[in-house]
Formats: sequence, structure tokens, C-alpha cells
Amino acid sequence: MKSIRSALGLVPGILLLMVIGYSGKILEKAFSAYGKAHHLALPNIEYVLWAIILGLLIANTVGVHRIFKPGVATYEFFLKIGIVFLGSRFLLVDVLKLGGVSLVLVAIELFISIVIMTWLGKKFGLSQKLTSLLAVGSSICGVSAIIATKGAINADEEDSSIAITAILTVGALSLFVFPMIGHWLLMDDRAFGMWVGLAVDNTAEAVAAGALYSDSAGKIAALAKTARNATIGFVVLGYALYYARQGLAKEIDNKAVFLWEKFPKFVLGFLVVSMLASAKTFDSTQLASLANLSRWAFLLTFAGVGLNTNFRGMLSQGAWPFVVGIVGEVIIAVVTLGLVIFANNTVGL
Amino acid sequence: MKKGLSIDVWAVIIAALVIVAILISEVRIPW
Repeated sequence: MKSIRSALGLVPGILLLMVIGYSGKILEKAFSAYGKAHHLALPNIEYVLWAIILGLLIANTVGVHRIFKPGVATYEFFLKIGIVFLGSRFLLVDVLKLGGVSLVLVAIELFISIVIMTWLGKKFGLSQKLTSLLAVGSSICGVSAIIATKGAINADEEDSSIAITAILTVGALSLFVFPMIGHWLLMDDRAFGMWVGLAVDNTAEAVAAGALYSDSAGKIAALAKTARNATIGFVVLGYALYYARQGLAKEIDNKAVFLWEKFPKFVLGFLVVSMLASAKTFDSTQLASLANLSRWAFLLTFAGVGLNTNFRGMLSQGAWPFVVGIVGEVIIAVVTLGLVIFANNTVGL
Repeated sequence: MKKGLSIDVWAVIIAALVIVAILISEVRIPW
């Protein structure tokens, strides 16, 4: 009975995601038709941006009523299911090649961002645990990495909420800044997708920033980000062991079980679907259907990204974590840009 | 500790069911 009631509680929010997402699609067409009809050279604004803007407008003006909140929070679910379906658009060889390159770049990025964030955290007088949360959030995968680390290092609620807000604020800014820089540098879709997949922290924002550039860049961003997410268990384990040794968190009994618990399972779903597609399990119509399902799922995700970005809430958390977040992210963005350009020119992406 | 299946696992289960449905039926998803 309770589970039926909680499932029904998701309906209003999911409907809101659908309405906003679909309005984004309608607005894209209407805006371009208006430009053509009136002979105006209007920029092509993709449904991705419309969906995010509509969500942002609602969240920051009238606000999201509590009846919608449980359903709106399902955008994380749609993101993951979208990534699993996206597997159908990759051949396994591509996944292994791009995923392999991403993992090497992620390892370098991880090291650099942990060093930078730890140094910045000390410099600006943030607590050790808040600094660790910011470092994990900026190097791996934003919110889910912070939540996983919070439990493992026994950090308090306030530190994790500050770290999450800081990472989300930087993510919201990245959505608009990264595509502008990409266009300015005339980056191709693969390089741009790889860059945002490595540099933008939260998976939803990384995929959205890629999709704002092009459909193909969104696809690559999702792959690079998924490879980055797959490393979460190892980093969280590293932090957990470090804090346990200092007596600030509990010991880990079984490292393999810990790694499996923290491993994002949708990555396996993505790999299996890519394997099925590579083994020609699907015909072209079925492949098109799966690709479209992935687009629909991402559309709901983008609406959720806008609805979950509340600028007022972000400003109320104090300035220093954001300064550390933004300075750290700028450095990480520059470093990953250099890494991606280097990889593109040497092994090719 | 949180009980029940995680969002990740639900995403994989639902995706698997949808994929089976697409494979055994003639349903097409437009965009």
C-alpha cells in the first residue's frame, strides 16, 4: 500500500518533466518557424536549451511545488536509463577505445584535481572533509560521488550539502560556458564531447552540455562521463581507507564488496547494450527506436536539470566553497582541455 | 543503510524489459 502511494507520488513530477521537455521540442520548432516566416536570422536554439531554460525559469520564479518534487527527482533515473539505451549507438570497439582513452585521461585528471582541490581547500580554510568532498565531486561524478564519499568518510550533512550545492552551481555555469568555448575553439564533436565528459562534474550536466553542442557530442560526453563514473568505487575506497587510518571513519571489512556496492551498475547495462548492438542483435528499426528512447529519456533529464537548479539556494551557502569550486573547476577545465587536445592529436579520438 | 534496489539497478531492469519488448514486438519509437 505504502509503495503504491509512493509510486503515485512520482506521477505529478514526471508529468511536469514530460510537459517541460516536450515544450522544449515544440519551442525549438516554433522558434525556427517564426524566424523563417519573418525572414529573421534567429539562432538555432535546440530543445535541450529550451527544456533547461523552462525548468530554470520555473524553479527560480514560482518554485517547484512539493507535490512535484518526488517525481522531478526521478530525472537521475531517466539519465541512467538514457545512458543504458545509448549503448545501442556505440560499437563495443568504440566504447573500448574511447572508454580506454577516457580512463587514462580520468586517472591524470583525478590526480591533478585532488591535488588542486586539497591545496585550495587548505588555502581558503575549508575543513578537511569538506575539501575531500569537493575534490571527489570535481574529479569523479558530482553529486553521487559526494554522497558515496560522505558515508564512507563519515562527513556531516552540512559539509555534503555545501559540496553538492557548489558542484551543482559550477555545473549550471558549465552548461553555458563550455559550448561557447568549444565553438570559439572550433572543436570537433568528438573532442568537445570528450572534454565536457571529463570536465563537467555532474553526469546530467555533462550530457546536457555535450548535447547543447551537437547530438554526436552529447553521445561522446555520455560515454566519457560513464567511464569516469566507473572509477567512483576506487576513489571512494581510497578516501575511506585514508580516513579510517586516521581514526576518523570506520574500517572497511571487505574491499571487493565495498567496490561492488559503490560501482554504478548502469555502466554494466550500457556495456551489455553496446555488446548486443555490436553482435547485430537489433535491426535498423529497433536500433532507431532505442536511440530515440535514449533521446526521450535525456529530454526528461534536461528538464530535471533546470528544475533542480535553484540559484537562491546556492547563494545561501556561503562564498568560500564556491570560490574553491570555481577556481578548481577552471583549472581542471583547462587541464582536461589540454589533455583532450593532446589525445586527439596523438592517438586520435 | 538504504534498503531496496538502487536507481542504477532499476534503470538497468526497466531498460532490459523495454529492450525485450522492442525485440519481440513491432513497436517503433519515433522522435
